[in-house]
Amino acid sequence: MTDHRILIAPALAGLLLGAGMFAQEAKPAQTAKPGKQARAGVPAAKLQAPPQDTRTQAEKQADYKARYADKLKKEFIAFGGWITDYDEARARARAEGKLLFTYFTRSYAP
Amino acid sequence: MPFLHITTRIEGHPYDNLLREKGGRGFPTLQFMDADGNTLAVQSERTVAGFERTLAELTRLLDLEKRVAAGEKGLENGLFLARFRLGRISYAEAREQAGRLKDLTAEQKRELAALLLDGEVQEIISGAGRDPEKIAAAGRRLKELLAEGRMPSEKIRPMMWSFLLRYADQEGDADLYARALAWYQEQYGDEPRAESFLKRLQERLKELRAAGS
Repeated sequence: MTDHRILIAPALAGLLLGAGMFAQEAKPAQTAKPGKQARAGVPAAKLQAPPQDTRTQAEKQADYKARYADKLKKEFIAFGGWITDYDEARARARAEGKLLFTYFTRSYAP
Repeated sequence: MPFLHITTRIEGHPYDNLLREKGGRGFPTLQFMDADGNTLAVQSERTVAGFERTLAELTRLLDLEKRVAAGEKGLENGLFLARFRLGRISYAEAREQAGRLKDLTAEQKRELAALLLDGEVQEIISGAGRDPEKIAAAGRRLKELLAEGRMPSEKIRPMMWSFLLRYADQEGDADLYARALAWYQEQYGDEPRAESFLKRLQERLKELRAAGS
């Protein structure tokens, strides 16, 4: 168990520092649907519909590839020593008799 | 072994649907897996403490499973609780099976009651969705639990207070909003990154107080 802690705790701490935890926590006061008002009489923040994506499939794919490359450059990835290849992760876990601690994230959107 | 999976939406990218295959529904999702990629535990808290707690619970469960497989007797209740704690047994299943458990120790009874309360709170919140009427009903039920002095575990409290903050905002319940805010201040008051977040909540509380006066 100690091995896991040594490996993971710094990585997780790096993630929390880089993941905008409080930006996500700030949502509760903005949950009313567009056009509706909170019952206390204070207007809720107006939510705008996302603009329509008019890009071609090729343009989207190029964007996804660029975003993925940018994601891999993030400091927290190198900081934590994360393995990003699923086959390699499983092979190493099997060889070393360890569990995988998996962090699922995305690169196609912020 | 730390494994970072990135969903890319790049055509042909290997294992791009892995999150969905493993039952995850949002970002970020944290899971412990075995070397075959089987999900063993889902970590709900995005904290180092949450990581350590989940790992300790999983280690305990794996040890119990190994001992039971080796033929050791008298571990059934502990195994049930360890599985329930990690979500291997659902709240509905646990509620149904709990009455059939025999010879629970006092500590196990306390733990079972606490886990069932956590499950009840999670069920109340997940059943509310975004429908204001359902949110209102769920919020009222959670307020009742609080009034009865039934507080879920620390693992569930962030979810509960986040929900109650939203409910209190929707209902214009300044007192409950203040209580939720106090919890956030206690948790994150020393965290510089939370400063603007807490300030927004304080401003909203003033608005709710003004609207209610």
